[in-house]
Amino acid sequence: MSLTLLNVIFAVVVAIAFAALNAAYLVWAERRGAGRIQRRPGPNINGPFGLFQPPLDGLKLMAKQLTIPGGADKILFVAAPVLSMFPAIMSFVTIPFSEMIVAHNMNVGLLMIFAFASSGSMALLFAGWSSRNKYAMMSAVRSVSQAVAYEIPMLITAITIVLMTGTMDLMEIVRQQGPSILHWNIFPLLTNSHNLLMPFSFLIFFTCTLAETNRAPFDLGEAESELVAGFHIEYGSMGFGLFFMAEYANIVIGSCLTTILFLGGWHPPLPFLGFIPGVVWFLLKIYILIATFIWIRWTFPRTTIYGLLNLSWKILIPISLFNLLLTAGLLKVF
Amino acid sequence: MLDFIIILPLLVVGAGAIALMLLASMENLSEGSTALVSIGIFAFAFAVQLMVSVSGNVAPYETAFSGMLTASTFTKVAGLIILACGLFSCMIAQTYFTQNKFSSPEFYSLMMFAASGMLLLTMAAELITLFISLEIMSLAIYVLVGYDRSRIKRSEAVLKYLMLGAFAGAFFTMGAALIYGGAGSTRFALISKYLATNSFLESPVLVAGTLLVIVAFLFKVAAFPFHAWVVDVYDGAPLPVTGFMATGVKTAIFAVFANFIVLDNGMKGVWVDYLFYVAVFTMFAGNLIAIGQNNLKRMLAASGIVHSGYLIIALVAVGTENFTGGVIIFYLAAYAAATLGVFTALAYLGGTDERRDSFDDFKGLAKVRPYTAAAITIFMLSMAGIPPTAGFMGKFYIITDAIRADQMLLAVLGIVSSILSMWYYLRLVIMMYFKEPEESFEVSGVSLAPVGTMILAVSVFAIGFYPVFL
Amino acid sequence: MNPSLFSADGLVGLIFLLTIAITIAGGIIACNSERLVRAVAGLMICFIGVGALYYFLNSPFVAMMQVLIYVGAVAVTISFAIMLADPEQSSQHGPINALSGPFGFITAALLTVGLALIALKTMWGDEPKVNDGSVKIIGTQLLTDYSMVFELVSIVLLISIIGALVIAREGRKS
Repeated sequence: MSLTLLNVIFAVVVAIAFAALNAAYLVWAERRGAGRIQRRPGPNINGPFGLFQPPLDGLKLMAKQLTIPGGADKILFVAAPVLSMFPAIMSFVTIPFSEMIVAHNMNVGLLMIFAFASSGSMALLFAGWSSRNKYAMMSAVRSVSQAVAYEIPMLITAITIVLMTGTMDLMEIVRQQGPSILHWNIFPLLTNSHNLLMPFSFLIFFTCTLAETNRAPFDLGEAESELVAGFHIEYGSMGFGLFFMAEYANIVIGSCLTTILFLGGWHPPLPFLGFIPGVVWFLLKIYILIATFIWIRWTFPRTTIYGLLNLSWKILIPISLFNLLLTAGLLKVF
Repeated sequence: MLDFIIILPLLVVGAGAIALMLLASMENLSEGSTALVSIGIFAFAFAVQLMVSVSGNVAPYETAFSGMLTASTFTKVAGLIILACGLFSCMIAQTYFTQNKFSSPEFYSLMMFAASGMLLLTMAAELITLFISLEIMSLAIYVLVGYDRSRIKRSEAVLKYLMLGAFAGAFFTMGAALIYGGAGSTRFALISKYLATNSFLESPVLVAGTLLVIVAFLFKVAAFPFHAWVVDVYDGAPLPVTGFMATGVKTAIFAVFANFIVLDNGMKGVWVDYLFYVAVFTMFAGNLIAIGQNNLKRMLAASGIVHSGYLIIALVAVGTENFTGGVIIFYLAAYAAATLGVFTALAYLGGTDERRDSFDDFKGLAKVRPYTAAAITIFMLSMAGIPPTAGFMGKFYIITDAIRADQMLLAVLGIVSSILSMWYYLRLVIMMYFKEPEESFEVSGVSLAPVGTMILAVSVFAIGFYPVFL
Repeated sequence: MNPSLFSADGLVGLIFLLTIAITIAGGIIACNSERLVRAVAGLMICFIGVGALYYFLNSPFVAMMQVLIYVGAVAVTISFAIMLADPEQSSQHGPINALSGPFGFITAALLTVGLALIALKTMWGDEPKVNDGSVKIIGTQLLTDYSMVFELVSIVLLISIIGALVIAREGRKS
């Protein structure tokens, strides 16, 4: 008990570093990717390929003054960005990067990630409300209603996986997906339920991850054309920086979860590739997913808020529920 | 399978509530037919409850559903009373809604849900089940109290009830947790077994836990020091709901209270001393409040406090061995018949927006509507405890029981309180018979309530002459 | 035996005390803050503290459910409801009566002392673990021994939904 707790504290420190690094360089990747997709160079002045751009951006943000708008609720205004980092950091604790690299494996690991992810929407609400800005408020309400709506199909899909594997232990879920690509949960043939709809489940989960992290095409919360800049409109300096970091940390967490649940975690696609360490495969998988995130963002137009909510409540939830029942039935049959 | 037979009436009421929600989607469903359907469901459940035979006179904790529920003659009769209360409350509602327009099918549906919570409560033999049934009942009643949002009085009532009810719920949960900590189980049967080998008083956790649980019960039956909410809430709630609350809730809580207090002799011994004071103060506080009231509903609410006092006397006298609860159940039946009787009469006499509600409004009723006045008189006499009504028999049994349990002082105080209570019961009778009528007591709408009044007036005597449960 | 502060156990103990402090602080903020939204924030802190306490009690499942349901759902729902409140609402104190002053304090003090006494006087034995608290065992228990209660909870939810709809359907007229 005592040692695991120390482990956790240590892991939190590492996780903060990991999240910061990821946020910094994902921004770079995003801007370079956007440049490529839009046929322009992107940041390429500072350092080779513009690689010094993120630390310079960070310095710029830190050097700026933190302004608090008049009439804002000061305590909540300051607390909200910190609070938004909290769930992302805590979730890193239980994510297994490989058989060896995990801070604290829990038998309710999956539940823990969802628990903290769901508390993230409180930060958005506080940020939006305490800013005393109509746009911030509206976008916070939008973001939260979106997060609540997409949490449901996401949880149902996760429960489908829990049904198939019989555990909420993330490591155990990954272990059951070895040794080759055909045993991954996304591929229905060799998993124990033989459910042919699993690829659709994967799509649902991936879509929900996009929506939960407020990414395009579901970034209604920060639709610039209508809401200026979203719930963090009044934040400058590191307040904005923290929200930014939290957003990218959430993307990483979402990709990790998708990898663990559907793409076999640290397992190589083919058994003979096992000489490469698991953590490499894991990171490779999540960065492919993140690249997909970026790709989708710069190629899909934004949806409308009604379309967004309808998609969740009228399409994704029924399909995922159906798939849950089907999986339960198939498990009983086979 | 046997398990399901025990809860068959519960299933009927619960399924009825859901079926009613589905029926509500029909466009051409009139208000009257909703009421008739719900009366039918309650009547059917009553018949089912009557037929479900529980083998003989079972000791407490003959269990079903792996120890979650218990069934005995006691719970069966308590269930019968609750279902009858639901039936007559629906009759009241049917008439009431011809004059007060805020009805919708959900009203009856919630009434049935509340009744199913009450039925569960009488049978609960485990603390978690008890808590959830308590919440099922309370939630439904909260909504019913605040059903008519157009009047500020209702909102006041629901807010008071909700806040204090939540407190009571919190006390109960805390108590249940402490009891679990002390006895290692939430099942009555296992707690009882634990207490048989370990002394109750040596475990402070158990003492504190039972104290908190008893506080929650006392709150729900509006016993002294937790009686202050009852007058405003009963006054603010719509008439059918007040009737249902006054009778159904009280029956359910006293049934479970009795089930709980007979857990262990040692435990009961400790609380009897305190319940003694609670009973005395409840009776006299209730009487004092009732004497000061000018409004009929408020008077009935206050008299409800007094009746809770009598019932606590019965609890004090309850024995752990051969527990049948006959006295309690008999008194509850008598009280329910009389109270619901007055409410059925008020349902058609009250007029639009409960216009007639004070003593003065009923001046000279006997000259205009002699039968109704006679029925109300019967109910009042029964509540005051004058022979040969059911109320008299109920009080008689309670007093003799108290004497048998060596609680002489309590018996005497009970009689004193009974005499005091005649002040306000007979005041209404005097108003009706010895004053000149000031209005014609026009009643609009053909309705079931007069029928209900007559049935209840007859049953006040029927219950009085039918003491079989002893 | 008191472990030294700088041992692993001492650090865990420190974190335990911190958790309790967070819980109490959250509760105090929730009760005493003048702005509704801050009260919700306090409530959230309190919930998280309680969740951490469950974790210390060796039941991570309940801890996670506490965070998932209370912070993720209940607190969000409450804040949705009160977001429409004006952030600059003036503090509205009711008339100060005896209950909010000394009597309230005495009651609270009595409760605290009473509960503390109970905790100290009881002989807390080393109870054996009921089960390992895993999701599987909890699921099995819910669907066998506690199936009745489990089903009843759905009725509670049904009533809440119906009640909410009934109350929200029509506004107050007068």
